[in-house]
Parts: sequence; structure tokens; C-alpha cells
Amino acid sequence: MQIAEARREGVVAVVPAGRIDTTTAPALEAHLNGLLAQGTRRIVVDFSRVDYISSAGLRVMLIVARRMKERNGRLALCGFPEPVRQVFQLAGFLPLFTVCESQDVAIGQLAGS
Amino acid sequence: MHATQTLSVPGTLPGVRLAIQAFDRFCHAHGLSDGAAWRFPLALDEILSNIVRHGLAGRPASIDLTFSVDTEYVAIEIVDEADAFNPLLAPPADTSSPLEERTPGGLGITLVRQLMDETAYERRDARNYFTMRWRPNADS
Repeated sequence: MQIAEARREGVVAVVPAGRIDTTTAPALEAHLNGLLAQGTRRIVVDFSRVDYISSAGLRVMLIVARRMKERNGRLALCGFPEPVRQVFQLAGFLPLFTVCESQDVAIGQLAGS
Repeated sequence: MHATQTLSVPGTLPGVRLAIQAFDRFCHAHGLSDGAAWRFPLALDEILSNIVRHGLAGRPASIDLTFSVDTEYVAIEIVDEADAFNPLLAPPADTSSPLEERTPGGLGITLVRQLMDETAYERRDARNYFTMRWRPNADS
């Protein structure tokens, strides 16, 4: 897995690519925790280049969502390929997150908040 | 079409990665569908990392795998020597609490059961046998 990052309108978009699983989830967690530690309060995670996410990745998203909430930050997810959408749905995770169609829409939502 | 491949991997997290890479090659060699190409690696990650972390918990052991494909099914059998553990009897994951109360425990096996058409567990000769099967034509 590789992780790219873009900053626009006060929002940081994190773009992991590849598989988010037991092996790679710790790197995503470290990246997102690093942003939180820097004081970033508006984060978009763009899944459009993700092959799939296993429960190890879901755990990371749960932890990060809680930390964002504690800090009054905003987190949005976007670009779900079908395997990612299915896993979020089966895990009952869709109601826990703001999920947008594209990175532009997600950034638009957070930038205006 | 009918093909099988057997292999053993170390019961470690790098071993889990080796198993997934081997399935990737199996998938490619037999032209399996996109649906198989993400479901089975995901399921291997869930089941094998569970065996490594909780079943073996640092004890040196190998895990035996059989990948198979025929006209109807893609299947993987996982055999390990850890203590008896039937993942199919694990309590269901919490999929409905609000964010503050949600716990991620049990999500892995919940995903595997729902992403596969069939899952089965058997304890035989001091080994755990876990099998999962998916029919590509049902949905992909």
C-alpha cells in the first residue's frame, strides 16, 4: 500500500492505494494519527485506489473517526470501489461515516463546515 | 476447469502475506474473476491473521492451504495445529451501535461468512480445518 496526500481549502485528502489489511493498516493508522497530532481537523480519506479493506482497516477507521469526533474535527470518506462499499455495508459502518461520491464533493463538504 | 494447489506457510504475519501472494498467482494463472481476486485475499487475511495472533500466539507452526477451482466454485481450505477454535461459533460482531460504543471485535469472521457462499469448520486429528467456498456466478 502507498499513501498519497493532497491539501486543498484547509482539508487534507489522504489517498491510500492497494490493499488495506493486517499488513498495511498500521501504516494508514500512523499516517492519520500523524495528521491529527499536527492539528489537522478536516480529513478526507479517498478510497478510489483501494483494492479492498479488511477488518484491520475498519478498526483503524473506527479509531480515527472517534479521535476526530473528540477533537471536533470532520472526517469524510469518498471514492468507494465496490469491494470497499460492500465491506463497509456488511460491517454496518456506512451509518458511522460521511461517505461522498468523489474527493471534490468530500472536500467541498468539509471546506464549508 | 479443475485445478488445485497446496502449500504451507509459516504461522506468522509474513506467512499470511506469502499465502495471499500465492493466491494472487493462483488467481492469475486460472483467470479467476475480479470477485474472487478480492474476496479470497481479504478472507485469508482475516482467518490467517486470527490463527497467527490468537491460535498460535507465537508458537512456531506452519499452516497448510489448499486452493481449488472447478466449474462451479472457488475454494480455500486452511489447516492449522492451533488449539481447537471454531470461528463459526464466535459471537456475531456489533454492526449497529453508535460510533462511541462500537467495538471492532468479531468483524473479520462476520465479513468472511457474508462474503462467502459456504464456510465450514471441522476439528480432526488435533487440527482445525476451515473451508470457504464462493460461487462466482452467484454474484461478483
